[in-house]
Amino acid sequence: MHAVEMLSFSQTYCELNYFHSQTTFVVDEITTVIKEAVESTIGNSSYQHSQINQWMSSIVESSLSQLTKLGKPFKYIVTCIILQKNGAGLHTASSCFWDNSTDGKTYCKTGQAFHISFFFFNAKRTKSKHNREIAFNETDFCFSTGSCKVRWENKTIYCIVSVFGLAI
Amino acid sequence: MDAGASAYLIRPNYKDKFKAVLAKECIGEILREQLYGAQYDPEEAPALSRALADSIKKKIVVFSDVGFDRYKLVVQVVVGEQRGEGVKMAARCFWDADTDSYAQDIFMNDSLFCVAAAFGVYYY
Repeated sequence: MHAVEMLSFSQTYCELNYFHSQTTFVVDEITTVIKEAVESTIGNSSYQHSQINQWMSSIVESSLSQLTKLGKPFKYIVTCIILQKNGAGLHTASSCFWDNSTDGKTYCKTGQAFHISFFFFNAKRTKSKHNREIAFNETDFCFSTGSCKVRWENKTIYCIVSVFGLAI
Repeated sequence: MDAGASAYLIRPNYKDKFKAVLAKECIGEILREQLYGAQYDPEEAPALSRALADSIKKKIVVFSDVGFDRYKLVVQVVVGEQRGEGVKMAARCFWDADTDSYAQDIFMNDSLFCVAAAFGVYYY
């Protein structure tokens, strides 16, 4: 009797772990996806005004489609900021009203002439409404605690990528 | 079946949807109030952008009477120095287009520019 109980317990535990990893916001995974999208599009290019629209669309769309392919029960919002590097400063900040245990965000900054921020939301249903009242604040450009950042330098372009996740 | 009893809505009523126009007004007011006559200062900019994001979020959450109760909110603020550089900001979302929406506004003066975007995502 005990052996059977132990077995079913450990099986359930494994399933729960798997479920958990499939339904939470895994920062590293997402960072990889974003980095790949950015590098494959911009590569070693210099800032070119005529190409910006196309670059931006392609980065944002490809990262969003890669994120959705992960198949997690998440809603995503991807924002992209592109900035030409000419010595000017840029600061981004975000403030969120969500559930800290299920939602998250990450940033990627690559140092080209682009700042690209991706926010994605995993809006997950939680059993209790009380968990919702968690505000998440953070500021950027050089990225606060709790975020994931990737830096990448080049001569003419700044690229900052930040990703937010909201679970459904 | 008693429809009047406490029913859990999985879709917002039309009047409870995230109102982009109202949110845009909130954002615009805050930006104008706080940035009017401001100069870009690299020391203060991080704190400024954070404060803006917080106040926009508070304003939208408080301002919305009943409707935004079921909405999760994300506010992103970008503050940059005006030096003639090229800047572009775009957003793409993977969400439920029936229930979710966003609002954005821009403030510019001679020394800085500020873009703020607020995204409202319905909580099922």
